[in-house]
Amino acid sequence: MNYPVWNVPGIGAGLVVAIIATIHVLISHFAIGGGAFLAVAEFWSDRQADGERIRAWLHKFATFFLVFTTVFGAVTGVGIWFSIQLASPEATSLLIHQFVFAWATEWIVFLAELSVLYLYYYGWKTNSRSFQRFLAAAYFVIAWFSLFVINGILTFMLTPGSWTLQNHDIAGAFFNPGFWPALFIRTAVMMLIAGLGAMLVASRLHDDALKARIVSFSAKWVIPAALLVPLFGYWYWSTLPGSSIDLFQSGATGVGGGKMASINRFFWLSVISGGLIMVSTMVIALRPKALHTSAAVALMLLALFGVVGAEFFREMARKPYVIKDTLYSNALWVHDATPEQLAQPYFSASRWEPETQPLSLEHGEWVYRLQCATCHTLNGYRGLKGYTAQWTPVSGVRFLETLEAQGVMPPFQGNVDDRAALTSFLLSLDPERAIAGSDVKILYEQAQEAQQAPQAALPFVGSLLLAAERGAQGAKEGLR
Amino acid sequence: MMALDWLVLSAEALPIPSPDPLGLAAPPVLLQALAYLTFTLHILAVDFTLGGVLLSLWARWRKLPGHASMTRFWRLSTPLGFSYLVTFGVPPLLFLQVIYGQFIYSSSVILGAMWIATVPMLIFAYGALYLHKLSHEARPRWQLPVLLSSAIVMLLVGFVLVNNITLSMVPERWAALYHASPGGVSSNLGEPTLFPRYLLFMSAPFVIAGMVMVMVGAVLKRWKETEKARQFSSLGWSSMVLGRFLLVLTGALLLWSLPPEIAAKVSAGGMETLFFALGLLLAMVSTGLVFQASRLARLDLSIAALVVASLEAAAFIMLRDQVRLDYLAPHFQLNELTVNAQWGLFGLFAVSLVVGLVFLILVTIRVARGLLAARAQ
Repeated sequence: MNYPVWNVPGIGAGLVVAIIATIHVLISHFAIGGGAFLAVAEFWSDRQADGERIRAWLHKFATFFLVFTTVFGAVTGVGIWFSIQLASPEATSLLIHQFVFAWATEWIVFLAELSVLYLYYYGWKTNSRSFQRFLAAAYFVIAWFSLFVINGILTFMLTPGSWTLQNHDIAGAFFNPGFWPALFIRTAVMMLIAGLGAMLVASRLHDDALKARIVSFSAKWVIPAALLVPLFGYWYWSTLPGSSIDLFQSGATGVGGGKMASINRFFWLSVISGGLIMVSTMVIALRPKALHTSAAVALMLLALFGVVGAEFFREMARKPYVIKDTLYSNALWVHDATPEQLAQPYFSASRWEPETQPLSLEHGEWVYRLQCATCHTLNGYRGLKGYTAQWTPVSGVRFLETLEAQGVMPPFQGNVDDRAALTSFLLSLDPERAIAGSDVKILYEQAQEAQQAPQAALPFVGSLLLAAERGAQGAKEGLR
Repeated sequence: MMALDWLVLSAEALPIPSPDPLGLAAPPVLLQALAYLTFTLHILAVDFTLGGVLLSLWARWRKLPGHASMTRFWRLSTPLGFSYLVTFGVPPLLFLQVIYGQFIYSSSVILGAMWIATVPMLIFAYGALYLHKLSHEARPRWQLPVLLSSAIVMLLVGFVLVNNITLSMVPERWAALYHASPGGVSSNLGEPTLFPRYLLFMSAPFVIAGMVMVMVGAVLKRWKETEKARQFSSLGWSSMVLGRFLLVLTGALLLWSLPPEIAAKVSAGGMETLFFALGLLLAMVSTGLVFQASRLARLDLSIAALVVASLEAAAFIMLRDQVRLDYLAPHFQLNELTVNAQWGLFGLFAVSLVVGLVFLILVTIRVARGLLAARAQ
């Protein structure tokens, strides 16, 4: 293990990333789609008889938009970066080294986006109408370009295309198979969220007539986008690796047996959230005055659920990799996962464990920490105590032997001592099943011998049977 | 190395990760230059914002003459300052990770709990500044506690960052800290340079925010608001003097707390000496300029003082990086890093930088003209 692993009790490092990321995805999509909304609403208000009233509301929307997107959006963006470097420093390092100038370019784009938003907002009273429209449109174009850049890096992780660790094909990495469909999906989603955000701000209006007009205008952003997302989603699906589709269609056997269908659940969470948003918005469009703030907040929460579903689906579709076919989710490089290297004692290649007695609980605990804790906790999220509740000492060691066969986990790194120590540690989470690592190893070895014994005895038994059969035939012939 | 005598491990036993297999996308000197440039901008934004919040609190608490105008100025400008301090904080960390990734990632994981805590802390401190601004009329009683809490949280974030950067330079500490707390509930409090370095960083805001107040005083003088101009200039000058005094004190403390062989390099005639001497010279020039600017209420001099102070910050930032290389010298050499240059992408970045800056300058001038014209009416 090249880097230390951040052990977060109960929730795990991965869920910390997921919590920050889903909040950021919602806000960042609002930040871009909201720019388009501001630009279009600027033009729209100029063509309305009561344009001044609409613009007065638009200023309220812009205030909410600016505070919400800069405070929560910008800082959670930094937060994702901080959290991924804790959860997966090896993968973060690879992404940073491969895409450093793409990221630097995105930073300039973000700087411009932020500055244009301030110029638009602080020049509200003094900028000419045409210049305000220009700034709003410029803001949207610049913000969308920041998505364009980030989208290349995000989709690379699941569908790296022609890129390999050896060829460094940056163009192939960036414009990978998932790039365009993901860009279109995200563009549609940002329009949808912009409409929901505008409905939220409009729901606070006391002027019913104005509220009705703005809510109706905002609903027109939601419904077409909600219809487009499944179409682009189908396109995206066609670019997914076969292993991801197999996982979705067939599931995977979990650590404790049974079928791991989480990816399906997250997929359906996203689909159902999208469907509910579309239906609810249609109802709201029929009676826009009736929109209450609590309903608008509920719609925003549904959008958050949709984002949760989609982002978790994307994360699970990558399993067992964090960068497809290059780096496993627990920082094991694919090129290092040869049978010879995998069979070496785990601590011979790891740097971060203290001195431990072989087969002790501490031995098992550090194997868990460095090899499993990137994705699993002991008692909480993806908790191994629950997952291993049906384990016996022998079944545990055997499960670890064929870990990668499940399709969602990396191969186990280490020898039989490491597997026995880890099994002992996981079983000891339940005091009633606690067993020493050395005993686990003995039981496992006995079971292996017993399994091999019938095969070894087979020729002898077979020859006896054959002799008996021949004897019987001879007796028959003698009788004749 | 005195700082490390509590834990001595042989270099072979240190858990320093291997560098990234992809290598650097540009020669280290180019990445360093970009890191220096952007970190200077970040530090200026930090000093502006934190200094502004602290001066605003001081003016309000002491009920200084003109405190209403001063707090108004900082109330309107600190949320913007915060926004840019976050934005300018990204690229230096990016380039730092490219060059020193194996060090900064390791220390970040070891301090994982406090490192990730900076995210909600930044949101709180930033949000509090907007709350302070937007609730000014509706909730006047909130003003002081909200601003104070923002200042405290900002000071805490700075402490976390200094913890992480100092720990990244001392791999000798890593194993013990990580084994004691794999969940990252650790700190680098055992580091002798931690507090001097932190206090040094926290002294600079008084200088920069003070200079900004002198500059605003000069603008107010142009606008014929003589009394306000004098009040701004007076507080600005006092703040700058206090900041300079603290910088000298904490700078001396930092030099004293450095491992002797590294401290000796500052006077050994190498790059460290050059950057240190340059920083001191620029500090004296900027102090002289701001003195004149304050006395004569000259806008040009106050802008020149800020420009020179920015160069001073850049010189000390380069010294800081040189000291980092001295710390890491037993384990890390810049010239041993593999370079797989990506000139095409660098070109795209450079073009974006130029086009972006030109565009921003043009639109900013246009908006500023509108704002100034409106004020003139």
